[in-house]
Amino acid sequence: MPANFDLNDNSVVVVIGSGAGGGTVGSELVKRGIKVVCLEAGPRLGLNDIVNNEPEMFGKLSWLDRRIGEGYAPDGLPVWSVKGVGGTTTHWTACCPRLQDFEFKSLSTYGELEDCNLADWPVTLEEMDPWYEQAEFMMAVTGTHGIDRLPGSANFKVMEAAARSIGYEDIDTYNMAINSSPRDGRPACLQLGFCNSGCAINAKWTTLFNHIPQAEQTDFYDLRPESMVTRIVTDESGNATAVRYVDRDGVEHEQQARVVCVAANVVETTRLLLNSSTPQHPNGLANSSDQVGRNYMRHVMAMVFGVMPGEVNWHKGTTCAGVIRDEVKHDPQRGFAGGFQYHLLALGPEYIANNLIPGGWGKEYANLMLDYDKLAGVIITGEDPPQATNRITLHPTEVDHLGLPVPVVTYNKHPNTEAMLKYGYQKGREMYESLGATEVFFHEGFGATHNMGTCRIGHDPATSVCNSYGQTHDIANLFVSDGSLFTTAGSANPTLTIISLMLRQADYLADQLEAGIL
Amino acid sequence: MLSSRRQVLLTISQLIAAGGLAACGGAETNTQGQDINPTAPPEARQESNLQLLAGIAYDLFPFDDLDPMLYVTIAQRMLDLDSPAVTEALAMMQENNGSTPWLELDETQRIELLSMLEQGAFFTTMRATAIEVLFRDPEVFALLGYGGSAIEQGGYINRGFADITWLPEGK
Repeated sequence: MPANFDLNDNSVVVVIGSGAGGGTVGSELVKRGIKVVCLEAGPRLGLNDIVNNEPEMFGKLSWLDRRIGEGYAPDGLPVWSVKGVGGTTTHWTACCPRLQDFEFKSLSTYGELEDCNLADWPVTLEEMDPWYEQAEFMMAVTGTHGIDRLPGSANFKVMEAAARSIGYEDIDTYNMAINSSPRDGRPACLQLGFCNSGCAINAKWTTLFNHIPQAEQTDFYDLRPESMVTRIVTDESGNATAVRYVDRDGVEHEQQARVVCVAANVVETTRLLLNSSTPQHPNGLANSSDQVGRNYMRHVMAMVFGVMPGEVNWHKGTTCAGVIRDEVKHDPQRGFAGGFQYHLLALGPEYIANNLIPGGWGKEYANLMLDYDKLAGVIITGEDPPQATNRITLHPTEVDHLGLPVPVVTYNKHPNTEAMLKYGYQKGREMYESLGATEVFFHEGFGATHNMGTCRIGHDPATSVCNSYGQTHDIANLFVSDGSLFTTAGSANPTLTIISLMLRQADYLADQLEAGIL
Repeated sequence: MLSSRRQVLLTISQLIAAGGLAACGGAETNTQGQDINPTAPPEARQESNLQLLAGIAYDLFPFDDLDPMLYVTIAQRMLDLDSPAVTEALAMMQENNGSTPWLELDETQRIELLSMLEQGAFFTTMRATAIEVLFRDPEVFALLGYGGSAIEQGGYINRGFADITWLPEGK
């Protein structure tokens, strides 16, 4: 039975957000008998709400409240995140690579990079391994725990053949949190496509249809959708005591709390901490280091499309089930630090028409669109270095409908990123041209889906926001529980690492609560 | 023989004349700003604006195998936006083409004129609207070889998701 805790119950842990981070930490605490109130800004969709229609699902899922993009971050939609129960696990592509050992040690491995805050993580891969294991098992990730990989689509076959012809070798259909055969009450993938629009059959793992309903079977989980948190309340001693939120009818409530976990995805997590300032915390909560909102990373992200000599029909099949790992390494010979992966990608006609050539139109462009079925695609996902000036801030004057300052997302590409892109584009072109592509297109600068780094973990409270468990250095009963924790970005899609960090955080937090420390 | 463009434009005019307007209830009240031709009756102005916009929509994404009504839909959406940028651009185009009506201009002239508008709000809106109408349409999906919603047919697991015919042997 879903629980219904009293607003004055100050024994609950309040989790803000229900995505990969919040959905995981909340449901793990519940397993230990800890009462959790989960406040989610967006609505709760059912499986019937998920349809095979990209523009319709974009409207249903996306966080479309005003956000300002500066620099390379596109204005209007600097970040493509989800507003709804399940958070970005509804629209994620379910790629589950681990970070590499060297990616936890970027400063030691790469040395200092100009204008960057490279740092080693306060945890190593070795320490994270058991949590990764547990996360992969929990999500039934293909290629782990003896779980078969997904079959390769035609788009995958093109990518693989192209990659091999230029000498790449580490290629397969990836580690996916998408069932290759029925498991955990979820069916096998039907190769629908539309992974980004939410999986209409629940073959893809989400917190929406998995963790959260499981947590609701206990007496400890109280999920409140359409509850937009406006402020974390702190007392004279500086501790978090309550969370203020506005419900779907615009009514404000204050939920008392023993511990608060902020898992609102990088932009909103930063915004909430900054908006909760008090005379005691004049720069926002947990921000004595002035690092909250800084070191914002979004991965080096760029698409390569080839117009192939025959039909590919890339829309048929799992959107991103394919990877080339050969460039996931640190090899300064290539002219940049850190690594990147190529993974498989397919996009719908509307997105392609808008972006294949930005602003494109006319006879030639229309003819190019008629080659839609010949397109093959990959996306480059690479490490971007943390920079203090890439950051989330509050707009000085503009406010939203609740009167809260609107967030500003500022991001500019580091020269290392430019060099990585150039190399990645070149190799991408070689790949598709090796199979006779008539044209190759590149596309970048879209809204970020991988958002990381604005409350980085570290040992030193002067240069980081949280300890390795995501507990803020400044406020013992305030935790950050999402991708904001990343010290550096690595080249791996972040969700698996977020979930693994949250399994570790929940374990630590439950221990602290049981021991009466918090 | 008429060019395919000419044929599409003719069909567009016929569609508009035959009742495109009836389907556009309230559109008249949406046309604000400068009068294009103060002496023309409102219906005639509306018709001429629709034709012009549908013609431009075709110039942006000329698909000859498509029901021309889709271009009229784009034109109507543009008028329904009730945007000053659209009204201004329409007035300019209706006035500025001198003796040759826009739709009678040859391709080079039209493309040249459209290119000059490329950076402006009218063109951006026109392109975005055209893309939204066209690339969400099942008929266009079919033209592109895109399957649209796949759930009803059980996805592609048994419908050729891995089919490929042209990959070189051994690759």
